Amino acid sequence: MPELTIDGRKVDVPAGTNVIEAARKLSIDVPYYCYHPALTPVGSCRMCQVEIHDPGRPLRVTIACRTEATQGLNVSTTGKECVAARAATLEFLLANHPLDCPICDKAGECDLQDFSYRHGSGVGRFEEPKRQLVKHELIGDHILLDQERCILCTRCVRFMGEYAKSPSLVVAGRGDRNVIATFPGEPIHSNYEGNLADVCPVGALTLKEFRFKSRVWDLDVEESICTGCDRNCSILLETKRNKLLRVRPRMNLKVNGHFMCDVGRFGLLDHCNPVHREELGWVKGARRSAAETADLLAAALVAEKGRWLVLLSARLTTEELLVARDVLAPLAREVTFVPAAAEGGDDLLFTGRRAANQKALELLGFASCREEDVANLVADPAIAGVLCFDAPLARRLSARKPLRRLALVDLFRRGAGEPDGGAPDQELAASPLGAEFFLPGTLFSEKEGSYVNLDGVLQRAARAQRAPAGTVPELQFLRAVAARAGLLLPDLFSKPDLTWAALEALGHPGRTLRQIPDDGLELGAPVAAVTRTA
Amino acid sequence: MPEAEHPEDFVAGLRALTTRYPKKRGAMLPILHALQERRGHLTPADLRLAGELTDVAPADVYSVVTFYTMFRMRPAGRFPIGVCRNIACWVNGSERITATLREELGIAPGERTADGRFSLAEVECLGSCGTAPCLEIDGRYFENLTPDKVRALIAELMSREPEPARAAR
Amino acid sequence: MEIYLSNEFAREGPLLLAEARAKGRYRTAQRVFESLKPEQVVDEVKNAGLRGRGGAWFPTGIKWSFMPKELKGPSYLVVNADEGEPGTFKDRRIMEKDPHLLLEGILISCFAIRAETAFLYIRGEYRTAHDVLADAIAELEAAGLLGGDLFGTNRRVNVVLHRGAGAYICGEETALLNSLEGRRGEPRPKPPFPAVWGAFGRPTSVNNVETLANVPAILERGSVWYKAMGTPLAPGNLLFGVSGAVERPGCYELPLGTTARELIDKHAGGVRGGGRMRAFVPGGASTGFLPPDKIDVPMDPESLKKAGTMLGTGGIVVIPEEVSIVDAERIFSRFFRHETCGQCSPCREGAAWSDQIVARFQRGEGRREDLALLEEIMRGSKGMTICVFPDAFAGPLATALTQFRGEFERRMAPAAPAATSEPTTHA
Repeated sequence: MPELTIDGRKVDVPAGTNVIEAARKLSIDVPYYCYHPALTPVGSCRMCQVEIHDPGRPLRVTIACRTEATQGLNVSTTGKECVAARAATLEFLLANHPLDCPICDKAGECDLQDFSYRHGSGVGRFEEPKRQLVKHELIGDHILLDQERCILCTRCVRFMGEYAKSPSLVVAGRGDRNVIATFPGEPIHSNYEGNLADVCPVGALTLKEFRFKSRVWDLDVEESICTGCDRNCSILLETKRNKLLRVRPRMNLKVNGHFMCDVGRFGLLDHCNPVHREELGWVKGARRSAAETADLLAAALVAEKGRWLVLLSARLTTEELLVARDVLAPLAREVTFVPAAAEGGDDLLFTGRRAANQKALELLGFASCREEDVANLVADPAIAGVLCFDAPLARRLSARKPLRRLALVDLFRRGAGEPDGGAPDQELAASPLGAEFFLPGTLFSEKEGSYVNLDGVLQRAARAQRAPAGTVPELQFLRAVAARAGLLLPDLFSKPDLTWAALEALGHPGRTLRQIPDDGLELGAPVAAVTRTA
Repeated sequence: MPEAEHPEDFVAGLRALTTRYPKKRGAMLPILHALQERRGHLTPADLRLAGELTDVAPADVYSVVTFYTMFRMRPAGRFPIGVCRNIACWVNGSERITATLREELGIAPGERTADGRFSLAEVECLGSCGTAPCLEIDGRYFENLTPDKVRALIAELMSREPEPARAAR
Repeated sequence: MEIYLSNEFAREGPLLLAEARAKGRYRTAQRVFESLKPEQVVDEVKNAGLRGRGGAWFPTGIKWSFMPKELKGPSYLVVNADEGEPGTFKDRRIMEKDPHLLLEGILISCFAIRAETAFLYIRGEYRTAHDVLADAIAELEAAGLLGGDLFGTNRRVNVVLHRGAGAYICGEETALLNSLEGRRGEPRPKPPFPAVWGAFGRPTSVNNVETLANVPAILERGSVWYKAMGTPLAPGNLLFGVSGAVERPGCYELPLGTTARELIDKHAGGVRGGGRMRAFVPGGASTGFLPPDKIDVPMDPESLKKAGTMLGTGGIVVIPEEVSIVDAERIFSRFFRHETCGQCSPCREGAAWSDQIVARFQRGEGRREDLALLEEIMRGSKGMTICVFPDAFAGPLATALTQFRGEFERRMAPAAPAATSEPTTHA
């Protein structure tokens, strides 16, 4: 492992590391634009200039991104020459920059702003007419291009070509006529478009969905995971006044690298801002508060012990699934889930399996059942009713054959997807799907918990939104059931938290939810088969 | 389909060009030249065809085309005139040559005559410094120019047809 | 004085193969293929001190010695016929009049570096030269002097003629390689150098047309003969160009070290109309403006370096007295702005910015602070980029500002009236 010196401090790095990454290990931030750890380096922006001090040779100012950290290399990031070089680069980049900051979405997280502040000279001497180019043109489903703001770092070009495997963004022209462009008249098409707004260091590529929605410093940010599929990309949920305004990937080398797909990024925007969401419960044809509904449903389950079929959902957290196993299994006739098939997945991140926590269902030992076989289960006269945590599944089953007795615990939107339409703003005239019990569910963003992805990585998701007042989180409902049934379950409820209990059950004891590493816990080899408590 | 625009033997000729290089992409510039010679400029369909022949994405072909001065995606005149404006030609009166052409043709550099016969552009050094000033039309140089010679040339070209494009060699 | 490059330049059309062979051409190539080893050819060229005539003056033998001696796949020779340097037209002469001089040089050079394919990259505008070369290559193939089994040996050489499409930057060897590969002609970061990673990822030597045209004579007459011409560090003859405001512009083959005065006054007939020069450009746009008192400078790389500039291509352009250097500089600043590839921030913006400022001076709208600003633009971009283009655009600008500063000062706008101390108000 070569050892080099940066700003007087020594550091060991693996062979082949560049000076930017070597400096990062020392928490020294070398500024850069065109470099990106996930893309081929090009060395064209000239921002990452540092000084190399070879003994007995003249000082060299060079770019750090293409300088290999070799044994004995002596680097300065603070020397006069490289400081001047970086300031010069910034002045050149700002020369034709439109300075749209007051109306630019990128303000507050813009590398041009930040580096100008930290590394610029503070004075721009360009007083010629600036280039006038395309502003806010929609070049894909989500991305707006502003050629004037662009500093031609070409990250977007390399991202589309190298990562998204869709080389549809290019540099066109030559010299100071260079612009970022698509093939004339052709928009870009990719399930990874949204990442362009993240890789672009300035406001040249922005999201249509976020345009003018908020200043970034007004956003509340929570770390979570994407529930669009069972990849569970690490993400940030950014809200303002409880509305989810933006979703961005978090770097996680165990799961998603630096990126996420559009199905998740934009799907979550819709999913977490449900309009016309049912917030009250239904019991036997009458509206009830969620608390009352939870109570009455718990009572029914206990009273009719051994007679309910429970259909779980992969949208539930690992903790909820653990409680469901230890609380509902003793009370139900059968507890099962319908695994999702992969549909439309790609070779990158999106698996196409719309079941975020399916792996946890498997690891916790739940039996699975094919959807066509559920109908047979339901037909069994011994089954009094179906407690279903998965509304889309319930909808599909009802479409085949209406369910006699249904207790539905999930999110439900008025009018949304109803076969006969139904105005979204009208109150439902009847219980969703004719359910005897309807308990409004909570979004994943409204609760904290953990999820296990298809590769067995368990990650923590923080709560990012407040559920509507009066709703009852699924966990609270399950505790009510436990209380009604007189189940104490010390192995569950007396642990430091439910995550601790879940990790014990999964063979990785000793951590609470907060103690899970930011990039997740690899659960590794399959645990021994877990038997259901009778 | 882009191929339908050009005769089959022509496209076969383009395909053959790709075998001259260790990677098909090496044939990009020769293919683009051959395509441009068909009608004097390149169309989006031409770019797609070039991309298909060289296994290059269309946007990437567009990126290449827009880099080079000789490639045009807008129609030029049947006689596209390029006047050198660099140092030796300039010292020898290239500005008078351009002015003469503006007068004779009624167009400015970057424009095309209404009948589509001529277009005018100012270009950089053509390598005719010893025979300056100079203009070129499709790679054919007219050197040691004077305003009178230019007027005579235009007069002659008014009635002439452009030479057929040379086959790709 | 020996003439070995330009003997055929006065012809109407090109020298064709039959006549060329009658004059003894390709006998040297035959001897090389039949009885020499590649290392011997490299050594001879090294000993002769041949230096690249594309403008960089890098020793050719040393460049060739970087090529692999043991092949694990193809190596290539790439001929740089992208002659785009203003004031330079000598490669064009060679190709149009004496293509076989170049082609024999290519054959021998391919032998030396063990390349079986030479890509001849010729600028797109040189239509005539391209056609002449295409004919000459066809002649050679028909005569068995290109292709396989050359001269009865098991060696082969093919020449692939390839047209550029109008981009001065493609004269830079790594930009040329990218252009040859069908990409934008953008220079590559170095390392790796072409001898390691060149055309299509293979070891490559990129050599200028005139450089290769020197090779047959060196192999025929020997390095001792060659070193007797020119200067000790820059032997041989050079095809000097003289153009601009001179009586007899043209291409003149003379030993390196010949003075600019001799070239301009004796061979090119002096400043046209018996006038005087304001300045002369020694060898291409980046070599800048030398004042008349430098006219006795010997035209060789070392002497021009001492004079504060470079020999470049040796294509002299004479600027007459009636022309303003501000206007002449604008020709160059506009040229460089048009031709920068645009990859690197300082060059893309700096070339354009400096042109905008020079244009203002042209209009008489220069400001005092612009003179220092132009220096800053040059300082902030030279040595800071993937290639030396900023050094190129700084060349003439720096000489113009140092040697001809008064001309800029005369093109300044009258000083703005002093600002009042009262702020403007909005009603």
